[in-house]
Amino acid sequence: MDAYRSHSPRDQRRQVLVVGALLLLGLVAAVFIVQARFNLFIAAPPPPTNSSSLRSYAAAQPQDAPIFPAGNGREVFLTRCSICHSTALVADQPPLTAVVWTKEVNKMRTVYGAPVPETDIAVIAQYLAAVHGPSPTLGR
Amino acid sequence: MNRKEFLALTAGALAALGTGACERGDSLPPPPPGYLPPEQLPLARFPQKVPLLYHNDRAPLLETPLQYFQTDLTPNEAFFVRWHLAGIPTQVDLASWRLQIRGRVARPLQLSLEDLRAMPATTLVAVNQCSGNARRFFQPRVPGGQWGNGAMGNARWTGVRLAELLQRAGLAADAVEVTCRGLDEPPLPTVPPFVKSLSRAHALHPDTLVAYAMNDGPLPFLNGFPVRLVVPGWYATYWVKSLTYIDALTQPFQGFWMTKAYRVPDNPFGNERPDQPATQTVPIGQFVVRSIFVAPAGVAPARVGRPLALEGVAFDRGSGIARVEISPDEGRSWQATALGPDLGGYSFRRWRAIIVPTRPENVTWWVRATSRAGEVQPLQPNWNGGGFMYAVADRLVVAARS
Repeated sequence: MDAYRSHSPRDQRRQVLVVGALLLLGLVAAVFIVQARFNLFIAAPPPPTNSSSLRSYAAAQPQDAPIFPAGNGREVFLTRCSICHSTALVADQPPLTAVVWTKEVNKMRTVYGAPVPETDIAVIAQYLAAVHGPSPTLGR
Repeated sequence: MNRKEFLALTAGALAALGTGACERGDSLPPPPPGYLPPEQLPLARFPQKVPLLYHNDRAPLLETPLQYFQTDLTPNEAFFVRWHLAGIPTQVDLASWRLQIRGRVARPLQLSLEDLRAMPATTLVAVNQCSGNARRFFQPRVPGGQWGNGAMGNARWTGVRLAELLQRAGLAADAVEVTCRGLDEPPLPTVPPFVKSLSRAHALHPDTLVAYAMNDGPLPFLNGFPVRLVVPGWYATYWVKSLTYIDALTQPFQGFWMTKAYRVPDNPFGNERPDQPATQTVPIGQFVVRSIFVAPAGVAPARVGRPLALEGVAFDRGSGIARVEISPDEGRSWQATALGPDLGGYSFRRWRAIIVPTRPENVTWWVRATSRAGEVQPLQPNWNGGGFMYAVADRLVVAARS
């Protein structure tokens, strides 16, 4: 009876479905692997949208907190510079000398009114020159 | 290019991929100076976006990977993102949102998105390119968002002419400039709000649009939902996102983002010397003519005797692209390329060429575009401290092996 049951049309259909699903999964995985391997395909065109539909929108934005190495001035840098922008913006910069970092910090103070006390300018610039200067320790 | 030629090019590209990419025991030469392979930049996924090259999260700076420039139009979800102020809009209620036209007008207007959609629509294809696109390649390096070539995109924009709105509002005869401001807010009261101005003539130009559709769909939030200014041929700093306040002024606007930021040396390529900053600067304006390698880009493996397809995009400020040429010898000789579909003067013009390496050597190929207006992409690098208007002919190292 067991043998009969396992070969019922219903079970056969199920087997076909399972095999089909596995094949489909394999195909999808293969496409993804090929994409990753060769970077060959471009993304699908945008999904069709009803241009007459009027929609409101709300979404949370991702947030990042890049890791900055230990060093003199690290906390001052993190506290002061992340008031207005992410520290990822700092990590994105090319390696800059203490002179150029000082200019950047001064620009933030004078142009944008960043609340950075005068005594913190050199602290931040020296820290950034040490971790993200001509011989940087910050990997990016 | 007919279909047969296109297929031949594609087959050539696949053949090259199948052989060169599997080369063993032979490392590739370095790419052109400043070129950073895209895989060295992290990817980040933001709302309504595919993973994009990540520069910053607050405010978002996201770069389009080059592979998305292999189609004429850049998909909305892959289109680059650049905001200035941390307070970016994350919600808009269209029931209460209104585009406001104010200042020196006879009849101030408050228009809903439905109102705008009911007006005569204009559609055009145009490149939107960040002023600092390709800043990463400047030598010496300059501070600012370290974009590669992906701080740009090409889209079909649909909206209402700004001229139409200003005429309906009754723009006063003595209004000389129009300012535009979006929904983004400064993180501190001392940070100047992001406001840009256009001259009266520029605001009334028939190609200046208030766009509510991008590639026939709504604008992604990060690209300026519900409407943004479209200023074809001009750098993206003028394309104000989530545009909400339009003000007509009787005096030239003196705001920070016009008089202090986004200024370039007052010469055709915005040139200055690192040790001698320009004394005369002007607000950045129209694109310089450019072409780039898209696929392959940076450095490409190849086989002697096997065809290798090169492709890329070119664009200028609106005259359109007359020709794109490639050179294997630093500009001493040039070879023609085949141009793709013409979607209008403001659009990307894709180009393709087939090369067949004859010797096992590394060759640096250059690409340069010439506009229909006669502007030629320079072979000498331009430079300025802001890292704006990168112009020089793009380079690709082809490493052929037997």
